[in-house]
Amino acid sequence: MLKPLDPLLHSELRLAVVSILIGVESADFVYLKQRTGATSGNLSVQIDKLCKAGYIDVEKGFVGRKPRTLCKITDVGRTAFKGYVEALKDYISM
Amino acid sequence: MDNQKSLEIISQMIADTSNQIERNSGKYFIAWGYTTIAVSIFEYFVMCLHLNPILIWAWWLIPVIGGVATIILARNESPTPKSYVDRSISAVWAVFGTSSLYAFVAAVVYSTSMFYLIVLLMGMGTVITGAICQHRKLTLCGAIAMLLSLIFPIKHIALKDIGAEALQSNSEWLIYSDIIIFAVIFLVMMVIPGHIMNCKSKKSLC
Repeated sequence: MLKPLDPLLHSELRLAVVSILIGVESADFVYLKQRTGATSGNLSVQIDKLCKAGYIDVEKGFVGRKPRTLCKITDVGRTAFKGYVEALKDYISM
Repeated sequence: MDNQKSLEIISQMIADTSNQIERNSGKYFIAWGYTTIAVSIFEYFVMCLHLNPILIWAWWLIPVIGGVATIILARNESPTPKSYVDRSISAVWAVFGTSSLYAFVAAVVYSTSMFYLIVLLMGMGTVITGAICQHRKLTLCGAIAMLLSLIFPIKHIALKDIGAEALQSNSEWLIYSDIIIFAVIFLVMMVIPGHIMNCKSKKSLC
């Protein structure tokens, strides 16, 4: 029986965000926006969803006078991503 | 979204991020490399032309200019992710940079050559950075620099007897050639791999 794909990760933008964060310690909002090509509004909404699910941590602060939003993946997010990739492998090998 | 698309997104995002990390290292190597070379050439002429001895303190321009350049480059950097690799590289250079300053102070206090120790320490830092970034050419250039650092003690032994005479004669440049060797080693150790790293990341972005 195939495991269902995590619906929270099975979205283009959220998966892109988590894929970036999986390989780094932290990434800021501007970087995520550049890499994913998403609009600020859409990215904010998706980051908020990931944050509420406990997949990522969001830290808001300032660099000089500029506001900065830093995102970090959590252990829950890491486990969910691993599970998603495993499930994906099963679907592809079918 | 189909499964194939999911895989594409995962692999593309991971590859882009690792490329970004590598791209950031090259410019710092170039900045420190050129600064060291420029100050070394200046000091070579100070020694050869017997200019004001106070100008010997211009060696301190290396950490000053290098430090300022590092801050400016970091500020102007496009937003980048912070990785474990970044943190490791920063720690390596904080340790080796501080050790080099200590080596410089020790060289002044004990009136001994600073070049051997500084090249050795910087070469070690470059090798470790190359190993962390998995950049073979950088590792190789660092290893070559460590090997080339042996030129200084070998030259010192070889010139021990003729050193005093050389200072009186026209072959004085031979004594001061340590400075030029030092600059050439920095070219091999920092400038060349720095440009290779930048070039590689520019190509992969196209």
